[in-house]
Amino acid sequence: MAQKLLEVKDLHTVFHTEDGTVEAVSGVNFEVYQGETLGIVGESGCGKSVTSLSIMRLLPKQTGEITKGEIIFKGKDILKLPENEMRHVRGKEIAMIFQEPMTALNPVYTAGEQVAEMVELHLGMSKKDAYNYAVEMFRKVGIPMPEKRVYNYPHELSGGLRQRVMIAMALSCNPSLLIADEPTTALDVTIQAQVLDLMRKLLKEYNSSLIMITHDLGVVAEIAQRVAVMYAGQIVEYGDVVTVFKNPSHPYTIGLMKAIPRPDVEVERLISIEGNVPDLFHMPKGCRFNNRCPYAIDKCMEMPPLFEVEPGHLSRCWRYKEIKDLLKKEDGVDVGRG
Amino acid sequence: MLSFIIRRLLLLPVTLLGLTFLIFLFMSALSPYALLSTYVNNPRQLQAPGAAQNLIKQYGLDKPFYVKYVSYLNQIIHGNLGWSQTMNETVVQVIKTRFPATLELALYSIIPIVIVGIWLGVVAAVHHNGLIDQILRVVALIGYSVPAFVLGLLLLFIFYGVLRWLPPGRLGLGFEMIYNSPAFHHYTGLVTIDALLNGRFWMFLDALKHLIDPVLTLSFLSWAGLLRITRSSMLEALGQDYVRTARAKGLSERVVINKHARRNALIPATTVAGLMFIGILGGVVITETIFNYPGIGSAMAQASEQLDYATVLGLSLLFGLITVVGNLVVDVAYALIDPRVRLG
Repeated sequence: MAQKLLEVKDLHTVFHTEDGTVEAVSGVNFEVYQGETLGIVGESGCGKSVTSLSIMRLLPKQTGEITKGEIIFKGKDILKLPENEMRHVRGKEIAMIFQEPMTALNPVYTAGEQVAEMVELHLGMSKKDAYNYAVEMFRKVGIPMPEKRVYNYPHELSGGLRQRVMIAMALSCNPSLLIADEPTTALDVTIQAQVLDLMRKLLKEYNSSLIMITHDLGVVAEIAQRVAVMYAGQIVEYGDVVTVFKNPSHPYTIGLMKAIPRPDVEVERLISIEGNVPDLFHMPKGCRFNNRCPYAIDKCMEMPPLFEVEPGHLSRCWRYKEIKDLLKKEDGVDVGRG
Repeated sequence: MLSFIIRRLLLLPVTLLGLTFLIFLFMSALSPYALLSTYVNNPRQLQAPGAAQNLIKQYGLDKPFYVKYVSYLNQIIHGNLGWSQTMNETVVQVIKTRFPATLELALYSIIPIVIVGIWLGVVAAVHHNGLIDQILRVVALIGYSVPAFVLGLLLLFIFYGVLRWLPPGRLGLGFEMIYNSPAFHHYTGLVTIDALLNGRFWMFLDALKHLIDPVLTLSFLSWAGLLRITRSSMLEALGQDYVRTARAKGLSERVVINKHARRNALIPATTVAGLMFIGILGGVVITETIFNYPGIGSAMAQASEQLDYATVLGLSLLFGLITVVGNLVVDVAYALIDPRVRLG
């Protein structure tokens, strides 16, 4: 197997608010190997973005805090790095692409300047070389007329182009790990596919690893080799994509899969998971999904550990063994898709 | 960018025409005889019997208003704003001798306002809710709530009345005589700069001593306002996605704050600076009066007291002109900071 690039161990991240301290991420573990893509899936507010910001150590300074855990990157715990060393990791070793290309670029600087300043910083290039390099990066991510586009301001570019600028920026220093926080959510569907294709192509070329944060299982199926499903600050199911999609073993994963509209199955209305993600101040006792779970039993009032369904496939559900049979009995629809 | 500036410059004459028309409307409220004072360049012209009648005819004051307006414009273009009874010279002469003093006062006020106000605003935002922020908040609140005439009188009382450190006026008596002597070259009309250019360092210090109180009085309010605006817009900018992007790129906190956040925070601050400019013109009248500072502000106050229409209207025109030009400068600065403005 490829080398382990990143290992997150028992990560706990809290936010100090005026109403008290809440835990947004409670004991998350996962690994990312060299050159592979890990998808982190979950609804809004499940802690997936906070996890990525914790890895970058970019939590809001006065409110966010990592209280426990280790983040081992290339054999070193980056949580213990002093801030000035962490800066050399950010952008150069671990780069990030954000969700909103509209607001993630600074409106008062040209697109080229925003790429070039990073290249200048990490690769020690002169301003002129950095600009030429930016033009090359723009060409690589498929921006037409890159020599002109580097002098454009963000408001002069379309959403798709801006996201390409973000990708060019993130990949410009050839990072080992790329974290993409819902990079396609704000884009048109056709543009989404283009951007995903582009990312896949470039990852291969650079042999970089990717953490793809998304709420869309379709995106995960398309780009990731392994997947972590997050719910209310915890990983509830973890494994490689094929296994998890074939044999989902947590009711939440199953719910997410059912919620994908399928043209081949006729339904009267779109299926959704009842209820909302619990608010961080009022977590249910025991399994955090128990108030929305159709298969909840008394045992679910206790917090389940992560069970190994099969080697490398984990599920945080007391009934992980029976869940497949329960499903079949219920409606006969086979949710697993290979 | 250049086309933006040219477009703005082309608009300038239109604005100025509007300004003269407004002043002209005020003038229409005057009796013909009072109106004459805004045309006549020398009071002796009025002394001959029947002169007033002749002059009314000569300036076309009995004609319809559009003829009067054109003749008024004609007078302005030829540099004739009438006779100032209060100063006993032409209004144009009043402006010539007094405007540099006000300009000097304004320059010494605006530059620190912009630099210190913005800088402290950024500092306060970066140390959000910290000790520096709390102190600055109190100082800004005081600056915001104490009116200029209270602050001015207070400063005058303490630093002149009690301590005798900072006298009113523009120069001490001895230096005033040197300043008015033919041997002294008036390069700019700004005492501090002329003093240095004439190699008179002590005179420069004396002029500065006279400027401290009025500058403080004039700038405190605007300074506090700009600090507050910069602080809040900086706080907002620091919470933006592009600041997070900048941090994620591995940029140092200094670059993140001074390059990425501050430039954006300056956009609202610039808007306020434009409004401030008008506030300062108003403040000049009060400040110069309190400190007996011989600029156009104190001239305006004296003329108003004595119903000296010609001076009041002439200076109003000047104040209007300054406002228009000031706003032009702000607009250009705005476009320099924010590329999105340049399109419009």
